Amino acid sequence: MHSFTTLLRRELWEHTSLKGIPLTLIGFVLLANFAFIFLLNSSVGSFNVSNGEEVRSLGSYINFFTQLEPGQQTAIINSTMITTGMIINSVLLIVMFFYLLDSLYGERKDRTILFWKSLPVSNKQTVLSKLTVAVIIIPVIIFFTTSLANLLTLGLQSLVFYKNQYAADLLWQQTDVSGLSLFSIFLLIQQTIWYFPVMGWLLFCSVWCRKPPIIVAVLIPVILVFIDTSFMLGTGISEILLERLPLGIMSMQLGNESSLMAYNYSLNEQQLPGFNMSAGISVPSIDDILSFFMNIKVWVGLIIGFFFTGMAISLRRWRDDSL
Amino acid sequence: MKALVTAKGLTKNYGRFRAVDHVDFEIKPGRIVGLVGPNGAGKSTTLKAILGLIKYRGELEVLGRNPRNERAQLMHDISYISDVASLPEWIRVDQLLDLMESTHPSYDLRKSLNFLARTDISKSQRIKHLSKGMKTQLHLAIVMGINARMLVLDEPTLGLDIIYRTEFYDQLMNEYFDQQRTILITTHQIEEIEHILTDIMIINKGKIIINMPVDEIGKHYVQLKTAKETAEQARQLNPLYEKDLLNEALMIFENTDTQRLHEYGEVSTPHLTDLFVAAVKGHQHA
Repeated sequence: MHSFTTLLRRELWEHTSLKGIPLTLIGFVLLANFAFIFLLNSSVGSFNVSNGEEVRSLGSYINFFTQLEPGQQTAIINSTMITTGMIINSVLLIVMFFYLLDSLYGERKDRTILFWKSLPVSNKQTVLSKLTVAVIIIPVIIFFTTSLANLLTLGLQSLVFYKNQYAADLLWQQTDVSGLSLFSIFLLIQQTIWYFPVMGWLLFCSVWCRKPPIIVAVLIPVILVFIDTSFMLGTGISEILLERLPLGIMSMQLGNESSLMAYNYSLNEQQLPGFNMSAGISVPSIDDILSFFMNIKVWVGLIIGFFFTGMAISLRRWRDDSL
Repeated sequence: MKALVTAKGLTKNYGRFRAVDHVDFEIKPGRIVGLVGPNGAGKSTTLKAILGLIKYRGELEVLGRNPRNERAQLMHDISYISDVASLPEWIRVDQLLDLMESTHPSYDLRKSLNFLARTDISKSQRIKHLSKGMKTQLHLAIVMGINARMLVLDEPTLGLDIIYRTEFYDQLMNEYFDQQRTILITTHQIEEIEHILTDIMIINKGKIIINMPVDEIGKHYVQLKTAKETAEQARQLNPLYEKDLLNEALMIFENTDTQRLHEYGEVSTPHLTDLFVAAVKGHQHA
């Protein structure tokens, strides 16, 4: 166990992007907040906060916010936070994609596999440590990055509202911290389970390919979809592959039957006056969770994911520094 | 004494190319064995099979284990240094030591630190900022800390200058080797290890062509330095190898009548370097 945790630390030592990119994203969130505050303070720009309704200054922004119904205030805060979360999640999913693709290919490319295999560490431990980064560590990073980014946004907004203590208090009162956190945690768990076969496939390609694995990892699914749709074979493989491929929560919101958001979370349709987006959230019920786990697609996906992971472990046994 | 490594009919193909061809050998404990051969002879492939890094055919037992299925367990008792390029460039020295201590049950960090204290390597340096010589020293520092029964070195001084090469082998002999340990070294630069070897295995085109203790070489091979005039007569005794010197010819004979050779010139035991060249060239001409 001690050596497994060391292997996880080794992944974080090597892949500095797992720390650097979240920090950069938080930097961008801060920058966006400062830009918003600056523009409102200097009154040089205007923001369309609802259809046809614009705010041109900090005062009018505070007035607009305080005059909304409590549910609408919560909806505005939630929509801001969910949007931030979606962006952070999508970027870190892309990081995860490249991390997995490189995880077992890079060591052959730079010949360090000879060093790693000189340690009394099994192939199973090595492959599982890389899978653990994708399945546990990256989702945890996504959660904490999103939470920190949202906390900083709330903190900065509170500072901006300092002239109106009522508005500042309102901001915190109407923020559903526990609801948002639970919502994020459930969503990340479901996302990880849903993409588990993709993670297994990427790990397998990483150890299998003798050329950069991105070519095979992307090309094989594309060819399968192309053959299936072009010749109208109706095998269903296109649907199976396409519903697993879109990246990020954003794609899940498009109403796809298989999408997690549509599948499990009923977005409260609290339409704001003039707002087009549904911004409320609801924490899934036990029934929602059960229905997710009762879905055969979830279990087939998990089996496929474990199959590819097993293949990756088996193949790494015979991989050396030759490509 | 039971052999640490036993190979019977060890064979490895890469596609149609046969890198190792039905090789048999044993490595006994407490020996320093040189597995030497020209580039592409099958040295590294043999080592990789011993270390369980590749598939192979034939029988192979290393420290009582089957390397095919027990690589991780085998690495408890084997230290392995491939050439310096295999250390991860991104890692810091302190991280590397931490990694070794956490993953290797028989690793003694103090021994590595004692060795490193005598070098210019700082614990906060990343490997990519170390020179090749420093990387080799670091690798050696790690080896010092591992209480292994067998050390496997695959071209460990490749690309190093003569100073570092000499220092590497001096430190290896003075600070690491004892009669309880076994060292297996592959290199194509035999001249730099011939003074430390107890056994030599010469491999060429996937086959082991010479395998014997160094102190037995004189029983099987002799070197003759003969004048140009007597060279033709000596040639009748079928030398394994011949090379022209300034006014003489140097010939190496295998299992020949040494008494007759004395008639033609100066007879001696060949240097490993000359024997290596003789074996490889002789094998090629055979």
